[in-house]
Amino acid sequence: MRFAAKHVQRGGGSSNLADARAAAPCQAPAQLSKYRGSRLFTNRSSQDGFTEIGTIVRSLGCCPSEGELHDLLAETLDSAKRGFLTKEELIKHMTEEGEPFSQEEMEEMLSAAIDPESYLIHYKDYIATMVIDEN
Amino acid sequence: MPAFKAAVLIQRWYRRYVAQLEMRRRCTWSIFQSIEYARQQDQGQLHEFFNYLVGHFTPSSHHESNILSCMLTEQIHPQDLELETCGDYKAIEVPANYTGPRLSFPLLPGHATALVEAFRLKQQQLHAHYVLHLLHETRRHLAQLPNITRVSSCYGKELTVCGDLHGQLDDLIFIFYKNGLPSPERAYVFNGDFVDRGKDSVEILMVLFAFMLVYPREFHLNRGNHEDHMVNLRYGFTKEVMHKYKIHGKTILKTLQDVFCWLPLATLVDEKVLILHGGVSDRTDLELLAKLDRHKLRQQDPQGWPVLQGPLQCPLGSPGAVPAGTTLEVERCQQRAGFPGVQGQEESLPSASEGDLDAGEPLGPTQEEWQQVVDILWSDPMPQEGCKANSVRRAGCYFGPDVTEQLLQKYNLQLLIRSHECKPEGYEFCHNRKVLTIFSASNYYEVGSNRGAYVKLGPALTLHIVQYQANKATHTLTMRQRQDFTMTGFQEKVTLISRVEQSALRALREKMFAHSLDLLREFKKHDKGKAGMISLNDWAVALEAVLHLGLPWRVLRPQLVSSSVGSTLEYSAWLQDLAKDWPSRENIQSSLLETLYRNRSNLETIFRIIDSDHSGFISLDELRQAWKLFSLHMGITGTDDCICNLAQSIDFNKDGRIDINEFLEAFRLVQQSCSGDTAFGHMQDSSCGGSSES
Repeated sequence: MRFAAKHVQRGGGSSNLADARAAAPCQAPAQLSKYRGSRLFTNRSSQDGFTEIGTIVRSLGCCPSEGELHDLLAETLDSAKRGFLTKEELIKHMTEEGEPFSQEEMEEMLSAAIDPESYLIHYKDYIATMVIDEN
Repeated sequence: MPAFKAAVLIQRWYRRYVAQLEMRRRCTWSIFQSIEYARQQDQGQLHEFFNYLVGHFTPSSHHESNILSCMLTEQIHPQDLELETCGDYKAIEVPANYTGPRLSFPLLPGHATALVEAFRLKQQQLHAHYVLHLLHETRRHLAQLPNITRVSSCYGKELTVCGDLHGQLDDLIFIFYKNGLPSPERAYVFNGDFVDRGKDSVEILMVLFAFMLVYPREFHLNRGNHEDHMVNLRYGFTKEVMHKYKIHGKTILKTLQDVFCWLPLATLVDEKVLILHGGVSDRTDLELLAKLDRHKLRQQDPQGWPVLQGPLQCPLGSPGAVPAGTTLEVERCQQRAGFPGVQGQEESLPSASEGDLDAGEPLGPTQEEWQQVVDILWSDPMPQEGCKANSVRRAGCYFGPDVTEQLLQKYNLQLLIRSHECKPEGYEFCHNRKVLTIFSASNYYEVGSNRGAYVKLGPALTLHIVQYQANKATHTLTMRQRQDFTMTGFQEKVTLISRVEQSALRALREKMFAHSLDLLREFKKHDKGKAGMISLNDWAVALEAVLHLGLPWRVLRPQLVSSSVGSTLEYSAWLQDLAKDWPSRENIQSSLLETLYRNRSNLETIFRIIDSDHSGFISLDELRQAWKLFSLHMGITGTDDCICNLAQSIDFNKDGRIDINEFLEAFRLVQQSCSGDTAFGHMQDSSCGGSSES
């Protein structure tokens, strides 16, 4: 599961808690305190030199909700309101726009998102499966 | 909304999900590791207990001295063993209806592969006759080998190094089938810890020893810290042998004690790559290690017996000094403890030792030698510079990158390959890529917890690492080459993480349950107003204060606390809720139950030591005595009757003998081995079956 950490390093990942707080302003300070006193990230020499803090920041950062995401995809990528995206459309957008995905990230996202029979991405269903319980 | 912005949001959402998954995985890993470390601390307690016995306890009755004598003299004199094992296997008849593999010596490659096939496909067990014969031949072979095996690689030949296997036969079979069976062109080094924890330690040993006899120049074994009798008592190997070989198990175990002591300590490839099980210290001396008599280090588990079988503190040659590691030393300790009838035993020592004494040479290992070996079998690397005592394992040290560098320079080496620690990816580099940890037991903590790996040394000592993960339910194996990235589906990963998480959480809940009283006390400290409630923050602080696990309690809270009003918790109710998962015994008070849970590992070890013939039974008397001693040391009072009543109620046929497993089972104290099978088996069929191999 290196992808997240890799990306943060490329985008100028933080190397200490203070920087992390600055990078993820919205709810991060309170949530970061959850890790206070834990040994989750001490004494680890990550062999590829990635900063551990990037993962925490990533996991706490602001992002759209499930509903917002669905609308986002519908409005910007699926203007014809088909209810799905083709593999090519998604790849193009994720690897060429915004903060582009790496090939690994793209492949991994596709592996869960693509419906093996139709070879399309029914994004409503996909988003629904990718929900993690909020605290 | 511009496409750019939309893309960013989508990407952020996805990456957050992936990161959260990673957080969960790390949390789970953290739980397993901290519980494992806590177990190691347990062993330290046992060591203190035995020290206490030797130092302070004077047996007041014949009974007590018998128990102590059992516990303090688990020693067999090497001379006796030779005579015993020579005749042993010949006397054992193989029944005509035995359909398992048959070995004849000298072993041929076909025999070794037949063993693998028999274990893999037909799940057969090798008959004790062949086991003992194989062990006998193994011992003979090992005794000729130096302490440090020197290997040269050459063009056209591969050398593969594997780490801990811990009784997981699936992983060994996978390695042979994916990498190829051992042959003159395919050399192997297995870096210790072949046994304990997993359920097929015996079969692993049989296969490894067989291949070693068939290809003595290409197949090499290093000793690990688990190739040790005392460790085996605690971690399951002894139990496995006795379960599989009810009649001859004891002989097999005795023989193995000897074989383990003859295992080489390290392997050196091309004078450049040093392979050993644990690590090094700032005083590691390869020349000394090469010269010492490794066979004399019989019990090198310092946690169980350092006072008795490690060297004495007073220097050799001073008056009253007794050669270390001998029966003499044990008896000196017994005298101190006030055992009657010890004088008689001294006379029966074989004359060989007296002869040696006369020559003025030390009989056993010196303090220095003992420490050198313990260091290489038990140490762990750390990121900080320096060298400090390994407080978790209570043996060996933590060594920093400067220690590694110093050692590599001193002996003109390029790389240190070691094992000893489980890694999520099956391997890990550290110390500037000068140290490689390789661990070959996949799913070590739980199904899905980690990958296994092995490393191939190529020309110019280049490294190629191969990772894998055994899927026990479907008997398929997923493999991932480090260079070409092949992955299982994302959903499978998620499911796997969830499952491992559940297992870790259960282990954690059990630990919390075992400390209920201490937790209650700690919670009350935070509840000055006696409202019965504390804040969630105080809950986290209290948990850490009692358990010392270093876990992110606030992150774990949603999975550990189901009911909280706002940001406060009714702690008594929560503790009662915890207790629901564990059996309650009407005749045992909860505090005693807790004590038993907390000390179950030590108790089990003590019982198994007392059960010196490994029958699986101890007498009611012995149990009572052992409990009395243990509770005295632990400061537990007023429980003797309780324990005895319980023991008596378990003695179903009233013959005064207690089945150790049943006694422990009564409190569900016995660890389940490979418990992943039933819970996860059917689910894995559907989700992980599609994993690809390349």
